Amino acid sequence: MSELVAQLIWNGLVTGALIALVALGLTLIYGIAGFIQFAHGEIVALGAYNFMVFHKLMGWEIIPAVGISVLIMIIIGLILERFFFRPVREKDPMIPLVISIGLSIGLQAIILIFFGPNILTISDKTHASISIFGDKILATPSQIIAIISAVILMIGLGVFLKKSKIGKYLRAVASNREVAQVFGMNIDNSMKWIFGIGAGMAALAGIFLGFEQNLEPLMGVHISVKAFSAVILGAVGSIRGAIIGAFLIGLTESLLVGMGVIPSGFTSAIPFVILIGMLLLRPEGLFGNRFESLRR
Amino acid sequence: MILEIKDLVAGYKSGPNILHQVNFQLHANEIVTIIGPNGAGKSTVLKSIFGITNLRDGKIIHGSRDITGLGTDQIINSGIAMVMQGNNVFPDLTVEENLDMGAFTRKNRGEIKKKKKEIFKFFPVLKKYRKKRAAVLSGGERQMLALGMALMLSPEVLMLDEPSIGLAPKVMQEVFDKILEIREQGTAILMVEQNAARALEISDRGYVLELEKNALEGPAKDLLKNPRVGELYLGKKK
Repeated sequence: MSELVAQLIWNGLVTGALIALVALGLTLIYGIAGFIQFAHGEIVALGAYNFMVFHKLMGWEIIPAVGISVLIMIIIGLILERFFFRPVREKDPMIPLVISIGLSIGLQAIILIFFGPNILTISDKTHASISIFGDKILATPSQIIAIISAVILMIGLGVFLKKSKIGKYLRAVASNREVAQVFGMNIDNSMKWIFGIGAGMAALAGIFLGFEQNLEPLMGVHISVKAFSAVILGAVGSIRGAIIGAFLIGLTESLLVGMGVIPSGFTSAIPFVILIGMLLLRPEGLFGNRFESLRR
Repeated sequence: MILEIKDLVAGYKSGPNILHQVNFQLHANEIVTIIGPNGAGKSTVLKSIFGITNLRDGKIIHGSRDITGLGTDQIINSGIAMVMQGNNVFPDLTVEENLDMGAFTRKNRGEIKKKKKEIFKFFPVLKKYRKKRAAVLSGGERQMLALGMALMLSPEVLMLDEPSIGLAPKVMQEVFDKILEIREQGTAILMVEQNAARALEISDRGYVLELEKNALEGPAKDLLKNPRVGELYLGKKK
């Protein structure tokens, strides 16, 4: 394998891992709440801006700054759930969907008001790249940490959903809400869990993304479009599908643009092309009806 | 008396009243069936006892305790369990996980494990498929699983909503046999059934619900002989 290809695969894996963190939240929220949360990308963006405030402006060390930013975003996720989505829980799923589109626009405006339209960076320090895999690939420390944490989180989430009582309970609510009620499961609590977990992972993705690229008010939209595509690609509601969809999009994007197959200006069209092709060939998604899905 | 429903009025959300003044009683160790035409509110009676509908008037007494208006988890903990009609398991969970989730409101892990063993003994088919997803079970197996999930709660009163729906006659027989066995173990059963004739045969008493009210009640044998019930619900000609 040439060094270029190896490097492109590495870059694709990094992007894929970040998309996966966002896509997992989306697919979980869909599984439990039954709608696509369009403001999820803004949680990513706010996570990045939050971290920038604590780390760059207030001078906190990286780890405490990550901790506080993730915590704040989890709280914001819970607030959104409580005041915007829970009141319409029993309504037609179109209603929370439209609310989430409104929230997305509103949160973008809040970012604009506080941080302005200009590009910002998360840190002034530049970290030297490290050669890995026998000098074939150049990687930044934040990329390595991003991939490791994303993998740990994905495995952790899988084990949590599979083994823990709360995880089984969340899958049960997603699988059949009426039966869940008959066995005394509280549906509101499941919404809290899922919005909290989703927001936490999105915030973390935002912070890693901030190390990779600049901060700008629309950064959430860009990543969430890819995450939506990943979720639909893998079959909406499926955990495994979202992860594989995310890596497929990350890798395709990196390889096609990097090899010069497609001009870089078309990067953001790639998820859509994959998506349209997918919907034409296999509308149920890669893992629809084949592997376990969160919601049938 | 183990369960008493007095003058129940209920509906869904802000909709109209589905039940008007429904009354009935269930004694310990009894099988009671509610029959009636479609839309008479048979399922609504069970859901109302379980706190899923909007109770507007009346009282529900379990043993000596007034459980009117309690949350579903409290009603479960008072000793009532319900098997819903149709989709009554978690299709994406394994058989064993379904049983675990049946005992969701129970905290004692040792107790849950012991209960699960009993259920596997009572329904050997569930043990055989314990690692399989519930979605791949047949209709009859799924109904057994739904019963198993409710039995995880060791209920005093088990409410069954159309336990025979969609089942082949032979499988239906197996389900009804299990219901009789469950009663023998000391659980009172309150059942809603389309297949009125078959259900009344295994019941001690029956109630006929018509136009959202009680129309007739009596020992199951008498209802089976009643010409009006026979004509309307049992498919007998005059």
